Amino acid sequence: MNLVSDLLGGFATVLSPENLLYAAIGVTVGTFVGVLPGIGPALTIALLLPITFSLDSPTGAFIMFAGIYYGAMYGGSTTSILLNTPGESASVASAIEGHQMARRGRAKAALATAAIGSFVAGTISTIGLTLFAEPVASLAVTFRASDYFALAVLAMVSVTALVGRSLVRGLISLSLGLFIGLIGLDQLTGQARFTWDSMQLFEGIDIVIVIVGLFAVGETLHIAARLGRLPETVAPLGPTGKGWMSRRDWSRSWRPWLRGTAVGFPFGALPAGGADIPTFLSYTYEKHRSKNKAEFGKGAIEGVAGPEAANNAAFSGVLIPLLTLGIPTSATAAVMLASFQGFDIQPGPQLFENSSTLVWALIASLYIGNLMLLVLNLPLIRVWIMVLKIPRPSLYAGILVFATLGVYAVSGSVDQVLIAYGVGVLGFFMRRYEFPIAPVILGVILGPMMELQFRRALTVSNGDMSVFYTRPLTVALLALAAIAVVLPYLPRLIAGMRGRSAERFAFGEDD
Amino acid sequence: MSETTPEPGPGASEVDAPGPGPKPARTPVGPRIVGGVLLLTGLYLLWEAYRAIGDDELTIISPRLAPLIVTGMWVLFSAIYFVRQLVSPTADYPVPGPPDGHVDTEDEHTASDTVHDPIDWRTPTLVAVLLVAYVLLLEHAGFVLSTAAFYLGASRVLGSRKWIRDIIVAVVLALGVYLAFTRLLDIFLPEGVLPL
Repeated sequence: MNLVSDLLGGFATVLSPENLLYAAIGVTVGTFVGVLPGIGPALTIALLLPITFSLDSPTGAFIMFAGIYYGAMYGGSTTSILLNTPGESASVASAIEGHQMARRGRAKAALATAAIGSFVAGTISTIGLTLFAEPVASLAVTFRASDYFALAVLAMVSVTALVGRSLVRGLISLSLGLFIGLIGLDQLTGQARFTWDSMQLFEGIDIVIVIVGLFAVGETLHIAARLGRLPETVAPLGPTGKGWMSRRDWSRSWRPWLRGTAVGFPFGALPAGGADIPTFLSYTYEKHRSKNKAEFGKGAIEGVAGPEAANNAAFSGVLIPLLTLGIPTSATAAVMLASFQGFDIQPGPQLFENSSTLVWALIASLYIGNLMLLVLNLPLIRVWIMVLKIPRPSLYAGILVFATLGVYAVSGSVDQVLIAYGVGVLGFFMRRYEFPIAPVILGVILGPMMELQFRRALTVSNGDMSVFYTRPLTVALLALAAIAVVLPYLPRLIAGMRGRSAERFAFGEDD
Repeated sequence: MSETTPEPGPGASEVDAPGPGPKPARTPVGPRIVGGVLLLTGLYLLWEAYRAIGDDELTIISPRLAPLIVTGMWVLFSAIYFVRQLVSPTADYPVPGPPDGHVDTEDEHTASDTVHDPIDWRTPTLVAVLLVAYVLLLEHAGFVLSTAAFYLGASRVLGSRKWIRDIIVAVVLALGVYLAFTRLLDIFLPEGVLPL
């Protein structure tokens, strides 16, 4: 079969000693940075971009990326469990139960169910990616400009509507991102927009600068404003020598793992996703279905196993729209897209034909990265705890150095670093007043894409707007975007009809 | 839009009901300022976008259309936000009650800070000033010197009081990163005044 030989080819590429080393470095560095409180996967990849750019082959770089991503995600859940500071929105659900378990001396079981659940979910969903990516890509070849426009609208609107507490604040964040995306020269005509005649702005504001500014600088300033009020104590691991998970833990974990995967992967694969919604869905489901309902809120292992699996499965799912359509649906996917473009590789339907070796190597390295993570992480847990115990002043001073270094190394310009700082100040105020960050990132990266496809579609149709409402696929996608705006209110509406007060779970998102 | 009705969320009403609670909810003034600044900035940008049309004809595929739409969105949503802050700020930022009732931890409030908690403005301002000084020095004094100096200053501002440890870390970090980037990764960093 073609698929099998492609995948085996991928493994053949990855299993060279050099590339295995890249994968191991990626997993370790990713976990190390991901464990640092307040740093999520998107920032981890953005900060480590300069290192991967210096590798000769894009293949090596992407193998490292796969490791970094999984590592950063696992590091994030370690921090959530032991310190109760979720570094990204997708770990919020598992921070609730995981940290409670840790406080009750069951940290090891929580860490283990997160790690094994991530492995199970990662592996199953990578199989899903292997099976579905190429069919979706061949389907996507038939997509027209108007479909891409609708896809971009859908991705942006759904993330804005489904993440965070307030739709208005989400839409303001989105407008901000779209505005940043407009700065620079117009892609089609080369006309300057919002550049105020400054040469530095002509090339636009790079997504890496936005991410480092919002996440690293913004987060550090936000922390600096609340130094006295941060959780400091790392929960103890519990008695040494005893096993990680008891038989009972296993029997309570495996169903949530599988259910989490089943929710996470399709949600991630939709061009509307990200990992936040599936993790929360999984948490709610486990909470309502569990026989140990009373334990929820006090450290129920199902509440860690399910969301962690969903989180990991969603990531592999997110790769489907990213690789086959070139549409990122989370901040992390947006950085991945930026890094692809750094190597002059344009994800999209043609990717599987033009760079098939690279794609299959990336997919194969997802399997390897997952396995490595499982093998490396639990044994290394004491190292990660030491990382968690780095004094806060040293840690955040260091993060600022690396943020500056990252932007300077990528751009080679002091002005760009200053722009990143400016974005950081913006990020500080956004955090303070609870404006979600993810819509900014998606606005910056999807806005120009959306405009380009919009104008392309109209150029083809000679300015006839009907292209947007006569083609069924376009209409369906735009309708989905409209539904996404209404969806957050559905639980409340349904609950209202049943006469119960609604419980709308809102994420303090950060991914 | 999402919370125009008084937030029926868990906790909030329980605090408000029995007279003056432990933390009397004062109207936070920050969101109003933010709303005002957002609205003014949006109006300025909208005007810029409008001015940029100039004598061109505004067609549907003109590069001048998107700026108008985006800044128009900005103005619209920040106006909604601003008005809501003026009318009822607590609708957008509910005063935190006991979180969900089922979490019985004493350190819970640390995980979810809200606009109602006072913050320290001095530290982030100092950090921002140090950052700007750092990057302005970067190309003149060189990476190693400016990084070491910034690290020392920033960790001090962020609360560290252990000079000796910080100095050691600062020097090792600055030198280590410089050597790793320039020698191993072949990425340029300004060497500055030090003969490296």
